[in-house]
Amino acid sequence: MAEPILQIKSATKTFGGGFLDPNPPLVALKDFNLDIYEEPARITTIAGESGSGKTTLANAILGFLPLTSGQILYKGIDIYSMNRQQRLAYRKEVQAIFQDPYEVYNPFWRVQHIFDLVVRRFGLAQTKQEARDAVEDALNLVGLRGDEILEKHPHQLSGGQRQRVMVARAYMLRPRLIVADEPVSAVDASLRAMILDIMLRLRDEHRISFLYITHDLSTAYQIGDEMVILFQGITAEMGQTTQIVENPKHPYVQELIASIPAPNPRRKWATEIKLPPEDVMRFGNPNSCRFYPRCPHRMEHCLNAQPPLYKIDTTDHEAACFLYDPQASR
Amino acid sequence: MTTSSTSAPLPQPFRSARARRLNLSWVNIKLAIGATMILAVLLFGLIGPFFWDTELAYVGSSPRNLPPMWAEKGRADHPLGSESMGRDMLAQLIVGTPSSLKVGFIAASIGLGVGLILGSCAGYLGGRVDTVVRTISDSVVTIPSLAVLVVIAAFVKMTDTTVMALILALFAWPGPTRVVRAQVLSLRERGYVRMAQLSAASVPEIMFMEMLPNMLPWLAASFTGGISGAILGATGLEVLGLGPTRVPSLGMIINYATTASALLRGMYWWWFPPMLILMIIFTGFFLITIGLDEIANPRLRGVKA
Amino acid sequence: MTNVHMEIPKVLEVNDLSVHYLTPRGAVIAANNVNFYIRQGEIVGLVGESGCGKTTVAMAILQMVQSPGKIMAGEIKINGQNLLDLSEAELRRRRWRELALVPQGAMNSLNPVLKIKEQMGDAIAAHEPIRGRALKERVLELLDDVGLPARVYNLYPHELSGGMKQRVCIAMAIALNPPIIIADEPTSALDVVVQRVVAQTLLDVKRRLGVSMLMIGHDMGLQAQMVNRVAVMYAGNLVEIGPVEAIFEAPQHPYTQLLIEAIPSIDERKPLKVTEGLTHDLRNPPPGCIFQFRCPLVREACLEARPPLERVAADHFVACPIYRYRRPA
Repeated sequence: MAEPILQIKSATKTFGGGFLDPNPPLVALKDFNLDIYEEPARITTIAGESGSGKTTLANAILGFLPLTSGQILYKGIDIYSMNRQQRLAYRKEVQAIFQDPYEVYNPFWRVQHIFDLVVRRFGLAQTKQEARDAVEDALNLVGLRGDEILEKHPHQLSGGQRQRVMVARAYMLRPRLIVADEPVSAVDASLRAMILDIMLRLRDEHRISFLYITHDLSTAYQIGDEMVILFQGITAEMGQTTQIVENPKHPYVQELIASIPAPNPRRKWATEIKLPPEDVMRFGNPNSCRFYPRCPHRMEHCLNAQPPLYKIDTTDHEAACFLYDPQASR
Repeated sequence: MTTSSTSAPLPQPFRSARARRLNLSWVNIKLAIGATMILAVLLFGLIGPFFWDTELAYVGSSPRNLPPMWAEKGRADHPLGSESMGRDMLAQLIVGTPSSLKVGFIAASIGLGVGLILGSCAGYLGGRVDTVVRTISDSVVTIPSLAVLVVIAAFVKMTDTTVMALILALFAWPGPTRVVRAQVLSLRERGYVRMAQLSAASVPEIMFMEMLPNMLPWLAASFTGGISGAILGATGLEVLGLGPTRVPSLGMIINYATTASALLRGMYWWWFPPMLILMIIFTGFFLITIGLDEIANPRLRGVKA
Repeated sequence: MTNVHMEIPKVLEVNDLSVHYLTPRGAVIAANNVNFYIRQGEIVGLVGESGCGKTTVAMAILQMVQSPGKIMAGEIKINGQNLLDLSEAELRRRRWRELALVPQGAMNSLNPVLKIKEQMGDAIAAHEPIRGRALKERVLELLDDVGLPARVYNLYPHELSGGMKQRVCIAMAIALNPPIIIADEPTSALDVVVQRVVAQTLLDVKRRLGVSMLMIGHDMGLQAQMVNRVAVMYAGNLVEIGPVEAIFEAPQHPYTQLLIEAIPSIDERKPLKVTEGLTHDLRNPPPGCIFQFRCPLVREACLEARPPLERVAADHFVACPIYRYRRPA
């Protein structure tokens, strides 16, 4: 097995709780571990609701948010202690596309500007013609043409076009990994397939891996190979996407999947669900299992510690729940 | 376009015929009027010397105490009259106006330059740099500038307008610093700044290519406000007699008029014209500033598609 | 075949509604001759993608269209009374009593400096002469109706989570027992599990109080779970309206078919169906069918005149001339 290209070791990020802060500290991410391999190229989904820590994780990986503890290693080097050269290499290999396809454009410049920046900084072309060709090539990959895109201002393009241009920009660098933070949430439903299809093609034809961050399990099921489900900063379950969706093990994941509204009017939600008031759940006991207040299978035991990830059967399917503790005596 | 919170229909933006042709869709009426006023004053000062003999602005060059040409005893070769030291009024105005404008421009430019550097560093780098810059600029803002300027002017020999401009610049930098810092703080979180960071752009590249273009309306408004403030300070010093003595300026004219009791002597042609020009300058810059402010804000609201 | 449906009265009727946004560069046709109705006790879903006009229609019904928008034509009748005939004062009396709104992003429509008890109390007291203890009991009763604990009464909005704030908004909407509630994307920005709770609350409220609802959204899964009939809009036009089962199982309009196909399934992995997203300039709609640039079945007849809504089956209407060439569902 090849070396992982990106290793996240015990990543923890805490906000607030300092000397002058009356609120208890918010643990956005706790002891998160993940290894991302570049061969074979794959789409790894980081799924979670708001407050799960997925955005924190994305920002940390992209170098925007130093961790409180733990490390993010790129080819063995901690990304927050890289020198300039190493940083540049990292940026070339790990790129991103974001949720809001408007915000990521500088309204002052034409679309051409974002490509100029990338060409210049990473030395992607020696002459103007080479640069033009490289840009055209990238745009064609996403189904666009330079003459209809480059001279326009961002507000003159549609949301789907803007998002595709962002993918083209990332592709120009031929990265190993693209962090896609909710790339289709702000795009119309009928156009989402176009972007997701591009992601699949990049994986299959260009061997680019993705870290697909989303709250929408349906799209994750359609394109994800592996999945990690976060809940309040902890990994609740991880493994092959199909396994998790078809056979969820962690009670939270079971609840989550059961709550997805089926687009079939003859199949309504099975039971009524009742949640304890949500404000109780956030600042509960930091040492217990995060899901305790809502868990239909909770035990005494679960109040004492956050369960670690246990393997389910012999596959790479793991769930952080004492129900799967092989040593538990019931 | 943007929807307003009242139910009254939005007024259509004013477009002069020239604006329509040039597609200057961002020009509004205040900006247009203000710019016209300043342009007029500027032309007066720059083109005036080609039409009028500026030597007449010096002492003893003309007959003394001549009233303007529409009064009796007035002469056509001194249309706005002259004052008690034999200086022709029109010549003085033609020379004094650009001098006043120059002071304002230089002082405001220095202020903006310093403000850009300090404000960007404070806003982008944060931490201790930010705390230091913020503390100093907030303190300087509270100092009564005219009082301090008077004290400085009393000690420093003011030979020409540049020296005066430098002294005024001491108080011209906190305003732009705060404006730039506030802008940088808000723009720093924008998606396109993130994208630039992801493209490994350097810090100067981010400041000047990504953030600065989006700050232009605010910077322009801050600049014109700064010019106005500097001219005010300069005029204040000149009226008190602390301005440069070599070159006539609008404030100095008023100072001479005051010391020579022009008001009591009924020599309105001495004290009124410089005041009029100053009023036009201040009003003009004020209109430009608020016109630019208006552009800066709707631009923000209108940016999201 | 006698149709039982026909005997249930209609609480809301929208007839030939047209709303334009008058910009300096031309009028944007936000809603073009929209026709639909809601019967007593049913939930009608209004779906469509960005720019389709669903929020415009909702605002028009509430008489809250803001300049430069303007209702150019049409009737909006609640229990037979045309709202466009009423004065502002009469409208104000009717709003909240006959027509309530659960807005999108309800978190932002609660006043952050007032406690929940004051906001709900004020809203009720403005329309009904109840005060003091009776008012407090009414507020507590409403909180219970939406499944919130009594202590919410004394809390500030920022002390509540998103789902709880949304349920407070639902409570405010049902406070005066209006016959119609318009819910504009009431669960967007909420987590899937919380969304289910809020959706259940709405369904529960409808069951108990017999309220009719217009449920606006773009999440087709949620629509399938909640509504009785679905109205589909595209670029300001209503293209199809019918019973929810028919819309999901046998959609007639090509755009509806596109929407249904685009729903990602959680049951099986299928290859993605990619479609082109060409659109027209909203100021210059083409003559003929509004969907002509994206329709895979477009023909000559589609380019000539705007197709009217035609009946396909009981309670099911489609605006597509091609329907005539297909067998009915």
